Amino acid sequence: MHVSNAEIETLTCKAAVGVGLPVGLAEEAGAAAAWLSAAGFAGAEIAYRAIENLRKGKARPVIVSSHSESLCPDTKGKLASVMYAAPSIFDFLQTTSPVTVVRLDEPLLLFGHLVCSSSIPAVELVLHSVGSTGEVLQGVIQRGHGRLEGPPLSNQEAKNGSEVSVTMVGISEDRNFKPTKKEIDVRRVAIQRGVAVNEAIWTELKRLAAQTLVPESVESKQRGAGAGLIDND
Amino acid sequence: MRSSLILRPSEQVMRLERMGSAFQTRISFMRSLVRRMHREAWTIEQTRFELDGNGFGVAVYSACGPERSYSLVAFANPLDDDQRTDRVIAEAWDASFVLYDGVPSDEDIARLKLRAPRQEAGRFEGSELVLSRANRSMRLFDYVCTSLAAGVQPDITRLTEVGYLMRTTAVYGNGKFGVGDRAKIAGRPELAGPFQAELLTVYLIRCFTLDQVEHVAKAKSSGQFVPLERSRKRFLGIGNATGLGMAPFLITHPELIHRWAHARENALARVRQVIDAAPEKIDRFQVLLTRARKHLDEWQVEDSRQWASILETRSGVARIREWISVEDSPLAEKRPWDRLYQMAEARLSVESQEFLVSLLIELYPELVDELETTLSSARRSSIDASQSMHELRSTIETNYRWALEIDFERPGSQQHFWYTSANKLEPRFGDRYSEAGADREMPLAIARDVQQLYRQLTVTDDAVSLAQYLLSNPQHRHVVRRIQANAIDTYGEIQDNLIDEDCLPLHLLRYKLAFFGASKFDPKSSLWTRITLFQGAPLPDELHREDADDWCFPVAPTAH
Repeated sequence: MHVSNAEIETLTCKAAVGVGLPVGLAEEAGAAAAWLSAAGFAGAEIAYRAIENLRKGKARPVIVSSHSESLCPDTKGKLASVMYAAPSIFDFLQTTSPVTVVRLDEPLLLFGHLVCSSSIPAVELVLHSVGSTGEVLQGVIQRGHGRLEGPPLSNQEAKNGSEVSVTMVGISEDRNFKPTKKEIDVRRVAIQRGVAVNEAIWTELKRLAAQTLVPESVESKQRGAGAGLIDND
Repeated sequence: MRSSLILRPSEQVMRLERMGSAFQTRISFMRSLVRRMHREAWTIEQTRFELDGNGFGVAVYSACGPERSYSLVAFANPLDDDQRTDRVIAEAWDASFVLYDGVPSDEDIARLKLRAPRQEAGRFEGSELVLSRANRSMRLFDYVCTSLAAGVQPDITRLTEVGYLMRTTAVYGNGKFGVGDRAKIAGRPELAGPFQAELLTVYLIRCFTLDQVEHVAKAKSSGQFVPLERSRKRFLGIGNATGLGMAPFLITHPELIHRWAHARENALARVRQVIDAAPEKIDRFQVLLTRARKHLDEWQVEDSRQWASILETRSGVARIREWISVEDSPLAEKRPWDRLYQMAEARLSVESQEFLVSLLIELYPELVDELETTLSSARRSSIDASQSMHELRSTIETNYRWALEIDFERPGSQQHFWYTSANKLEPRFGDRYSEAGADREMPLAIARDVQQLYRQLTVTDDAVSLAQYLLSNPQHRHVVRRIQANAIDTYGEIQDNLIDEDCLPLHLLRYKLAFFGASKFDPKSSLWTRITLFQGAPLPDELHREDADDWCFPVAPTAH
């Protein structure tokens, strides 16, 4: 099925809140998922996996490791939830570089998050991710644009997550990059026509988002705006 | 020198009572749309009109600007009287509409015919920009129809009582239910301003309702049919029933709301800064005052609170007329409009003051119209984690003193909670102490959340970085982002407790609707209001007229 980018952002946010994520984090996850979708990645599916990791207890919030400067899951043996880690990585990058996180569950969502966060400051971010089975994901991010280097990956999730390092560097003229025609075209089509999502995943996201809704009751229905009115006037 | 403009402070402007007293201005979104259509010589054409004698069927209207066309696809269907409700939870309507990006093919229309009447239950595509629906006014539609069929013009008093033939109950854009994203149209000059696609839809719905009523009247007539007289037509706008759906938007889009409020305050400040009132400006002010007084006289409501405000505003307008009629009129002084505004602020009701603001802004298109280009915001704020805890605390103390002063220990201060109902996602304003669902409260209690954050900050070591703090306290992230953004966007925050027992959501609705350009606010409770859109606006074949922009504070035509 086809959905709009706004729907991806909104539904991801609500689904994340539905499983208990604080709204400030959920809003940023929604924006990241929408950016990924518009850039040709499976944003909704990636976000769904991250939400499910949290819901099932497979992934956990992050803390600063007592052994090193990196972020790690707050529970031994669990993955680091990207929904918690991504906003904090950008926060820490503003005073420290590089920032690393171990056992991250969905590096691509971090990539989308960094792209969205980078739209204002004039910085370049370099993301380097190594999965537990050795696969490498590398991305460069500048002013709201992001580009993955190497083979395109839709998912880097692995049993033990990925070790990700993000480095912030100043932008110089020679490092300034602009979106390619292909990147522009992908985004244009996504904005013009919406994006395709897996219908089963979409249904699951809606089910999770429904946990933010208050079930209907006779009393609440009667207290709604315009209650009891039949407008034949 | 515009750099020395003195704007009214946010603590005065962004209070619920004043927001709930707002009126349209010439930079309201409907006014901008009509001005553009006039300036760019848009044409509006009925390209399909396949309605039966009861007015049921399909119609298409195409609005053609200099670069692009947009088409309203309208479907009118029979509706049982007991199905007709303005609430979001309705499932059937007299008419449903889609604004199509371009000119729809027969296949598009066939597809939309199946989907548009289902509204939220349908799925739409990027080629559709807006989805809407409307119900006939049973007070007026049949009456106008019967009158025209009998060869007589409908009575102006009856038209004035209602003001529209149909009332929209929702207008959805920005990607909802699969329609095109805002990003798709944000770069188009004609739709770059706020809600321009939605309001173009409403303007075209108005065209449809006027044609539909004449069509039905003609079909029912046995030869005496007369078309609706032009001035009566122009006096009919489109009704709208607005419930709580609009309220959260104002709270969740602080950067955008700042832009709107800042533009209006900037407009007022520019007028107040004028050194001398030119004679033609004083004449124009007199004309507007006369029209405005008549508009107020025609504005009838049942709501006692609003009725009292209207009476006060009528009185306020009379006093303004007195002030400028005497020899030592403030308009004879330097900075005359500033002097007049100050007199109003000192002596008149808040609604009278805001009425005067609207009139003053109307006087100087050459000073204020350019501000309509500053009303949009694409900026998404991210957190400045380099800010120290001390700085964050200071920012709260400076910009959120109003929030810190609220006593949240008092039970009534948290009487309400905002939530979304599972029933068609209808937003509601619940009672925390008697209704279930507070555990799923929407994050709109900004004052309470800021206060909770501040309390925790006062016991947090200043050496802790903001990044570290937010890592440990992610529940405060949305508030920190907001506080930082509001340090720049000073009009972005509504400076009242939005969950208090005395909070009237109606104020929020009116504020937003005034920016749309709505008039004749007709509250039906503290939770919803009816309004009129485009009343008095030029008809499509009048868009070229020199006075196409002169339709603020519409008044009933003279009977003839």
